[in-house]
Amino acid sequence: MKKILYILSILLTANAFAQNVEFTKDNFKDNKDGFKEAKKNLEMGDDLFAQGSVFYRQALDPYLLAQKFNPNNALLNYKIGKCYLYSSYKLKSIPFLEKALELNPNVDPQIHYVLGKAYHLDMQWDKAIAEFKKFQATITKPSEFAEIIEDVNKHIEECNTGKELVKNPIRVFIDNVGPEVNTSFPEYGPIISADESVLMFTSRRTGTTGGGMDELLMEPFEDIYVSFNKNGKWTPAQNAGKPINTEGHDATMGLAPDGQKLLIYIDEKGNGNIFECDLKGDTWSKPERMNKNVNTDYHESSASLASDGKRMFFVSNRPDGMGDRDIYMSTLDEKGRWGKAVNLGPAINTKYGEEGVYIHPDGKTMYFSSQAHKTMGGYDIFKSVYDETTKVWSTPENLGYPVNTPDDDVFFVVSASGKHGYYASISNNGYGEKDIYMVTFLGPEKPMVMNNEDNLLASQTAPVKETVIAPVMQIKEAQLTILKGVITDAMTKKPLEATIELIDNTKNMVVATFTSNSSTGKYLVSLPAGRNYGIAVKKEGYLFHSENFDIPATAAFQEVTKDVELKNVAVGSKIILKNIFFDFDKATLRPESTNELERLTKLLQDVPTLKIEIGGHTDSKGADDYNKKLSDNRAKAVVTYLIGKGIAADRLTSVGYGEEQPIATNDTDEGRQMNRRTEFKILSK
Amino acid sequence: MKKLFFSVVCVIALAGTASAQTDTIIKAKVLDDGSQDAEKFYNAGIEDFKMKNFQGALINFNQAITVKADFERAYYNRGATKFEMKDYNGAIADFDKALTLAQNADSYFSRGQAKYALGDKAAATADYTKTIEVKADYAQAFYYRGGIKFEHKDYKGAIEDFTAAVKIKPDYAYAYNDRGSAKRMLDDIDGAISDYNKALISNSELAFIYNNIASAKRKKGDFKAAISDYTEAVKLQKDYYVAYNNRGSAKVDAGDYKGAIEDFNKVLELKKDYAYAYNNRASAKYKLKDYKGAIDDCTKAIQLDANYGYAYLNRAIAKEMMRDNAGACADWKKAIELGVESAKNYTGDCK
Repeated sequence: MKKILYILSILLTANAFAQNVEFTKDNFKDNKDGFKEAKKNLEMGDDLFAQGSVFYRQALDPYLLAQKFNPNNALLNYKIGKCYLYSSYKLKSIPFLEKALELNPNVDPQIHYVLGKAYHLDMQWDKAIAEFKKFQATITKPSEFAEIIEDVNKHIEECNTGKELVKNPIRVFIDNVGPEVNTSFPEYGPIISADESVLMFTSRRTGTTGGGMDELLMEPFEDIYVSFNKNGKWTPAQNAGKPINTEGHDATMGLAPDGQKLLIYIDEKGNGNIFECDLKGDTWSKPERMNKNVNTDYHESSASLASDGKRMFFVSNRPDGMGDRDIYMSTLDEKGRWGKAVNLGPAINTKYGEEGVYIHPDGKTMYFSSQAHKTMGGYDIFKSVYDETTKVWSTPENLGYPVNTPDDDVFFVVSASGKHGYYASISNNGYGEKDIYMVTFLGPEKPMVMNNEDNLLASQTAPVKETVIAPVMQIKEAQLTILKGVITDAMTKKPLEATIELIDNTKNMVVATFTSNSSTGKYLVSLPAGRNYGIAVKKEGYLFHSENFDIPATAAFQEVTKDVELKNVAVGSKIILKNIFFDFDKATLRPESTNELERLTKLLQDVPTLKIEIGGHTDSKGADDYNKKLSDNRAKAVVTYLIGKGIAADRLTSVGYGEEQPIATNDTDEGRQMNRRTEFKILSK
Repeated sequence: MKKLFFSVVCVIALAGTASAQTDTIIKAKVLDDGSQDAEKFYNAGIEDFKMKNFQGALINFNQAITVKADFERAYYNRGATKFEMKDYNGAIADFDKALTLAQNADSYFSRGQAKYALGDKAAATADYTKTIEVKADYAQAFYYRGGIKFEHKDYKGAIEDFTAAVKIKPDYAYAYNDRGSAKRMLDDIDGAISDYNKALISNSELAFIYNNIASAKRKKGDFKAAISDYTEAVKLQKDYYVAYNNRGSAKVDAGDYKGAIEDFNKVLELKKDYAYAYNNRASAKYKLKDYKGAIDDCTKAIQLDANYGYAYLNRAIAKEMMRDNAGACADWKKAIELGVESAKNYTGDCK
């Protein structure tokens, strides 16, 4: 009993008066071999440590061995703490830094700063602020250390922001996308098609193209991988293969919403550049370096294509920016060349770093990361919306905790529906190193409704139930329509590579052009709300197909599947001209019809032998005679237009069918709308 | 002609199925010259009535009327007796007869009560109005007419009648209470609180007034004061489950979810089929992230009331957190079917 007490008291003493033990021979007389080995490890670690933060991770192994031998060296504990702070497991730094401080409060002039950073990352806000303030107090000449003072103040501000954000977390589910995608190696940089049917990402796993190792970091080179969503599950990820992946680093940057164009990052002698490649059938074209308006001698590190394919947002650290990395935009000119890069300006860019840009398929919501604005530490992900009328980006809004953390949160992409986000993160529950996670945004808390009664009238014993009106919530969701489907030959049912033109009918302007995939016939078009869209599907040798989508600005997100069968130019073929509009109850063509009429004109010009009939159809409302006359006049109006454009009158016939040939029920609004139509039929060719 | 001998005060509390706790006091002057049989039967009837021996009272009033066919007060009292026996049509016939003999305000008023008991609110209103015509300071007539206006959601009209009632009878706690409720329905919460306070000055023993003032304060967002007033209500009336349910809800509002659950538990001890308490307890459990518990409670509420739309809405909200999207969608759709419009906000992602 006495003995136990004695040992216990010694232990307590040792703990209370833990002293700094230097790595000197005298301190380890009993274990000379052990000391030699530890000293060797210490020196090996010191060599790596001296080469800068990139090597801190490698310094950790020998340092930890030395620390096992002599746990009570303040400086070693400090250095291990610092190494961990630069590793994937930053929070492991805390016990080492705390111990260093305990062993020797003066172990390093920066100990409070480094410990403050570690607490900051661990969201121990008050402790972090206290350490930062202690560090501030050690700065004796503020004029000489202005930069450091600014940095420390920024950290304190970030801690205060963090406190607020953590107090009001956003409601999300965060799910690992699963072992089909994630491995024990790092996976990061997820990019998705707008409908989340394709996921591409970067990984440094074994089996990389060429099998080489990055000697600097002793890790495999980066390669791009791809997985497809089949019935809600990701297929096992495949290496995207050549020509995308090379023996060096190949990393994802951006995927067009329809998945047909890929932007990748290729490291060219330390100067990162943006390359583009197109999906032709099931193979990717050879990556091509984008032009000098986009790529410079500096580092271009992130890029995203707008859904119209005409604007590209990217990140560069070129010197003419607002400081550090900035976000730029380039616009495709009429000749198909990317124009001069424009800095997005001070609403978005700051003197600190901006990184990881992603433009949502709605064409106006941008997600990006910044070290400034209201970050809770490192890079945080922000959202800003471009107002087309005022030409102004809204004040960036922090996406909030737990999506953002005190550490770097970068490279975040969001599905067209706005419901899901994808990003990479390290979690203890993951498959190891960085994994790809999907965030499901739940929106503001859905209020539960309670029911109560009161005895409002004294003369009545039955309580009166309070009329509860559950609050109606503003649902913030993406305001766009995703139109997708498969384009096939009407006869052979084989997939077709066709051109899909997106027309703003009001402006009579082609706003975007897409191509369906040649081997699958698949296409996907984003239609931001607030326009009357004409959609023309064209392919040489086929009659064009037209669709109309009039989407009010307030329309909620919807995904519409529309498979299109293109018909050959053959006698008897009939096409509905969905973008020909008349004034109500009149035979006057509305200006929104222009594009469709021009398309029809061109067809007749291209095939000069073609003779067609223009047929007018109405719904069943109104008298038969009246309908017949109206439809006849409307068909005539189209013919008159075509004659005006120089098409010979003897090639054109007009017929008013009235309500004789319905293609849908006349009992619903929708059906009646389908029945009111203009068609053309090929009479001879 | 007849010598007035002495007068008996007959307390006849008229209370229908839906009415109770009335403080309406009808003072009927009973006449007896002692020498006549009719009056003797009549007085015996009053004694029976006071002893709640309504059958006996009926026999005596019948006798009185048999002896004296134009005995107006006997008709009136027999009507009152029939009212107590829930023979409203019989009561109305007697009040009709009494009114052919004399334009007495009490007869109109009591006939109004009987008509109300039969659900004929328009006729009741007409009788209360007639009462006031005969006797302009008849506070109860104003009060009950105001009550009917309240039921018809004519809160402004109700307030006018309640105001007339308290002018005549300044200590009319019920009228103050009801006027407060009418003001509350018009979203004049401060006015309601002020009236409930006046009601409490007149009678501080009425638990429901504390409950009502608490609910008004809860509506204003003053949860602390609401909780304290609900506490007064349940002190006065230990089995007042309505107030426990309300206090629980106020505790949810105030963020005291554990305290709320205790209150809802108490409700269910007092009234085990009170679906609201299950539904509301689900809300507290949800806040404590006990989603399974919340689902179970909503399910119990639905078992008690298959058409309980809000319980479906709430269960769906909890199911969403349990990652049961299919279940949540089914519940939201059911809630919409049952008229819960807000559920439409949530079905956007449902297949």
